[in-house]
Amino acid sequence: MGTEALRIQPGLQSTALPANRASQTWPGRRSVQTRSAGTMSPEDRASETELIRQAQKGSRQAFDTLVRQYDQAVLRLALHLLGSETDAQDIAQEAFLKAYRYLANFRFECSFYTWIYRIVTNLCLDLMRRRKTRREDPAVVMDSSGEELDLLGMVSDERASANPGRELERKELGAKIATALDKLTPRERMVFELKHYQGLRLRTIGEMLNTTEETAKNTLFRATKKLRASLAVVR
Amino acid sequence: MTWPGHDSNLSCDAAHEQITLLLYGELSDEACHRLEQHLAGCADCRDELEVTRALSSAMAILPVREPSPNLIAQTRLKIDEALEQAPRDSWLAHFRRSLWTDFRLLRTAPLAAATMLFAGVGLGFVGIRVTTPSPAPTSSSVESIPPQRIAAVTGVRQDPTGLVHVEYSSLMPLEAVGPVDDPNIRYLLLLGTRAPLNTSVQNAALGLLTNSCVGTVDCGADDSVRNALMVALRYDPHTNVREQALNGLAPYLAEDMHVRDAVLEAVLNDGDPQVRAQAIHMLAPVAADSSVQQVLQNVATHDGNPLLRNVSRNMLQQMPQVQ
Repeated sequence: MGTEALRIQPGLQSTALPANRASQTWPGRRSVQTRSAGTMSPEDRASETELIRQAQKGSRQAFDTLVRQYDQAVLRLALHLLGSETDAQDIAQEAFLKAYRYLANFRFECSFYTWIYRIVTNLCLDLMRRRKTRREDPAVVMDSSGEELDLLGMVSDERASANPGRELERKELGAKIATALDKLTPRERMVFELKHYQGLRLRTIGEMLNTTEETAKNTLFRATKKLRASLAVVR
Repeated sequence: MTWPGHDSNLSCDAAHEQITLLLYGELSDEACHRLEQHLAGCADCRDELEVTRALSSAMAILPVREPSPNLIAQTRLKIDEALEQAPRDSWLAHFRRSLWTDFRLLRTAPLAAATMLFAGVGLGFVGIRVTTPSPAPTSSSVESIPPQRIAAVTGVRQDPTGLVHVEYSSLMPLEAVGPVDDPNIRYLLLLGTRAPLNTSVQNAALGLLTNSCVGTVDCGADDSVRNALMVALRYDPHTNVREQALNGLAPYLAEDMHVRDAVLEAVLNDGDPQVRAQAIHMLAPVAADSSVQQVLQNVATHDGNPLLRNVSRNMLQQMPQVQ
């Protein structure tokens, strides 16, 4: 479609499709600056390959460099998914420990980014499943000192002080959304997180979760349908 | 229901899913074009597009937060501490190191090293190889290891990334050098008599063991050599190995009844006529034994092989009669 706007019927302006589909950004979706296989230049990729090989040979310094390249992205994912700084920290620590232990098994059949995310998503899925089994309240968010955080209080709205009523609505909506996300299965939650919030391609998501792109797509559809049903068509 | 301009090839259910893909930037150009045509003629799906956009806006209530610098720093510290304490070596590296330790021990303490190296194998698969030690296999080159070098699969598991780890023990080719009467060498030769995949190794081991017994009655303090020869004669599937074993048992015939019985059994039951004929000829020194004569009579009279009947008859004619 390129940059042409869809010719629409009069009075139906709201149905215009995005002019540039490739860069369409959902409101709320952050512009992800994570490294991905598709965005690395050949020079960056060669540099990372050498770094991995050095780490495989036993260079701790090389491995530390790899950690620095990916730890923020890992924390970001775990933090948004789990809602707890403590849990996010534990996941990051365990993920990089596993990467260190099994680095010799990494044979460049995928990007290191995909590989580390595979470890992280598996760890997060395990934790989410355990939470569901224990029926923990996912809406309770803790910071690293163990204090409860008001997640909804972090929603930026410069007009909050001027419009307390609207602020209350937003908080109520936030609680509903958190509840709706919790109704998803761990896998649906993960796919939705990776697609909607982290902005990854469905193909990449399939690789990370050891499944196909088609399966990831269907999981995403199920997740969005469930969310729609839970939120009763929010407008 | 079909609207004017509605693409009848695209159902509304499919259009709903494509709307999701569209807003996520996952729709191909062609599919997008088809969706546009469908939307132009379907009010319900246009409504669906709006609802989907609204849902997206609502989800923005829970933004993705960047981890704070404090959180990042604390996490890095924890990772550093964990890495300091974590053992880097996989089981393979441990296994490789233990093999290297065994190899060095073999060169400096033959008895202890030979015992340690082969006690665990205990399968009789070790042969005398004149080879230099090759590097231990790594996970990436496991497919290059010949199956006969794999001793056993000892563990199977799957790691968090989905990769399968198969732990296995492999045979490391090594070499021991020493005189034939060295206990370690004799021990290895005895194991070599049971090497099922390499008859040349078996024959070489048997030959060395039997040659070392020529002119002597006592082939070592125990019966190990004799037993190895008897086992080879009784069970080995290769004719040349059994012939070699028979040669090696010759010195034992006069004094050892067990050996004599084993040779008689070979006369009666061995599957190869040449081995049976060789066994018959071996019995000449002990022809006075009534058991020997009984067996030869049996073969001379009833055996289905005419050559063996003749050989037995000739042997009997040369024998002194039993009183």
